[in-house]
Amino acid sequence: MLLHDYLAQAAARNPAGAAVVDPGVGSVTYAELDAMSDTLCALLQARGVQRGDRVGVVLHKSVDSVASIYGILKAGAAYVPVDADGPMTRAGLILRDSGVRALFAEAKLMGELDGQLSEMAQAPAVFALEQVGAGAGLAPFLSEAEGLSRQAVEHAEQDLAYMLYTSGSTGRPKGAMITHANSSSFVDWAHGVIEPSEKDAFSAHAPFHFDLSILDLYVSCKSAAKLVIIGEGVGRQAGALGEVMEQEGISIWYSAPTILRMLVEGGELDRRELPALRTVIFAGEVYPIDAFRELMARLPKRAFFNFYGPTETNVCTYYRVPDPLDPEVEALPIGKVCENLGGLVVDLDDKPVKDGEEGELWITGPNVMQGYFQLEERNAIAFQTGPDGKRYYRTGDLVVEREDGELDFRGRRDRMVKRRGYRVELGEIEACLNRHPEIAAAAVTAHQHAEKGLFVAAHMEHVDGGKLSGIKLRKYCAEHLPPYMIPDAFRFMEALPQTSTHKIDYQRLAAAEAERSK
Amino acid sequence: MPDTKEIHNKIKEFIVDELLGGEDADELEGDTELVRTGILDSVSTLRVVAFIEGEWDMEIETHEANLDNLGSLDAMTKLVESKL
Repeated sequence: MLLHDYLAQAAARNPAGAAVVDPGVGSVTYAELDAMSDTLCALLQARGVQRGDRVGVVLHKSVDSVASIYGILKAGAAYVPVDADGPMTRAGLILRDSGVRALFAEAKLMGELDGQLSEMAQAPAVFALEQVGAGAGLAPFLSEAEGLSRQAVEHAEQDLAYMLYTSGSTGRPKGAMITHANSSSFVDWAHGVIEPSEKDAFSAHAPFHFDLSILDLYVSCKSAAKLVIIGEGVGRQAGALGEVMEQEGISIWYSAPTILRMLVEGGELDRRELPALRTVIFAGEVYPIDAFRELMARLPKRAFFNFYGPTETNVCTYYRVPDPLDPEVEALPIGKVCENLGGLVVDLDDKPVKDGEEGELWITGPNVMQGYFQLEERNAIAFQTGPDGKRYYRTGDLVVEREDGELDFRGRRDRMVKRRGYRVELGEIEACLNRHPEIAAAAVTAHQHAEKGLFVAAHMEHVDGGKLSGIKLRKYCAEHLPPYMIPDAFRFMEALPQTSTHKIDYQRLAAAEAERSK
Repeated sequence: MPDTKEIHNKIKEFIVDELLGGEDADELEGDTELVRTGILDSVSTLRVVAFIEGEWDMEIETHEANLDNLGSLDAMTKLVESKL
């Protein structure tokens, strides 16, 4: 299945139904979205975009960005979504790495982006949108394309649909290559689990560069349901978010636990009943069990799902929370491997573990990405042939299979953490700090703080024994890293502690840090 | 009525003490971007709003709780002044 075929089918089945709603701004029907993306496809083709190319999207969530994405897919190209709120140096890195042939970006970002793009061998065709919302930003391009017709494209399911960049330990993000076949395998599976209809309203909380957006965008489209854009500002404000959920009658919610916790703590679920809401799905990080019980108490008779999976496989295990939840339960499992995939739990020698032993989770099946873009060495490590001869992706996550067959998540094998739902390589933060001219060495640790959740601390040596202020360092980090990667604390020390083999003693740093937070 | 400086300093004190662990009060300037620099996230924003509401006995409406009004110390000060 091709992702844009979902749109063609929805437009045929429910042409007048609302496809995408940007609350307070406007909306488009499935017929309109289909027509807009046809026109954009024709325009992209006229500017030289061909099957197999990549096209950047540096737009906030909006009707404009959804239409752009479908236009790109129809042209046979893959979209590369980039955080419009993140530093433009990182955006530039991603756009150059993926070699985009064209780019949809917000005009206000172009000043900073232009400099980033000037280093590219072939300058991309740029569509600079003066605004984003209910399609007005695309209007000038749609009229420019009048009279152009969409050329036939020989699509294949093995063509790339998108590339999502994930945090890399060397300080360079890596592009996970996902084909139409990979993505639609997940979409079809999720559709089967959620069983949505045209009457449903999906939330679009996750930004489009985040893999949670795949469910929002395409499962809603497959069921010809309504997709409600949760603006970046709204999504961070409990009151505004509760209001949108109520007014738009959101029935299927999907986000990281942090956002649901914000709704509970902000009192929104005491103020509002949200009768339309029937299914709540969370993923991206561990939901602390006490906080989850509070959520469940405020939203009785809803279906709750814990989804788990890295960007590279999309969702690969899931757990439907039983109602009532046993009061003895201390943590939610990540559940069983999805029916369309296969999983293995292996030990340090890459051999399957004995029953009940901890090991790394490996995943095989149609969801699994093709690999990281132009990173052959990294790909050789990321994939492994299993005892059954199949190609497995190594998640790097440690799990244990319980007696009832559900998997419990135990942590990471390497130095990757989840913060506010995002995957963060502590090494990427270190690499950024190490590039600062006054920092001689940096080590970054993370530990669970009782109140603040995951607490990230940077420990540094100054070049001449001095120190830099936390605010200065925050400002410096903000130029290179997204907000969720900026440490909570910055500490200077004469020398970073070392292990007997002269490596940075992360355990000692982390233990001291955990002690401080008590 | 409190003057601009007093409001500014009270909010600053709260942010420095509660969110920055007492560090670097001098470097936190009126126009420092609080969200981009990771000082404010969804949960800490709620705490700042609750502090402002309690301190000056006012209610911050949902539509006011946005980046324009809460993105920096200067913006927060302006919001409080406009509601006194």
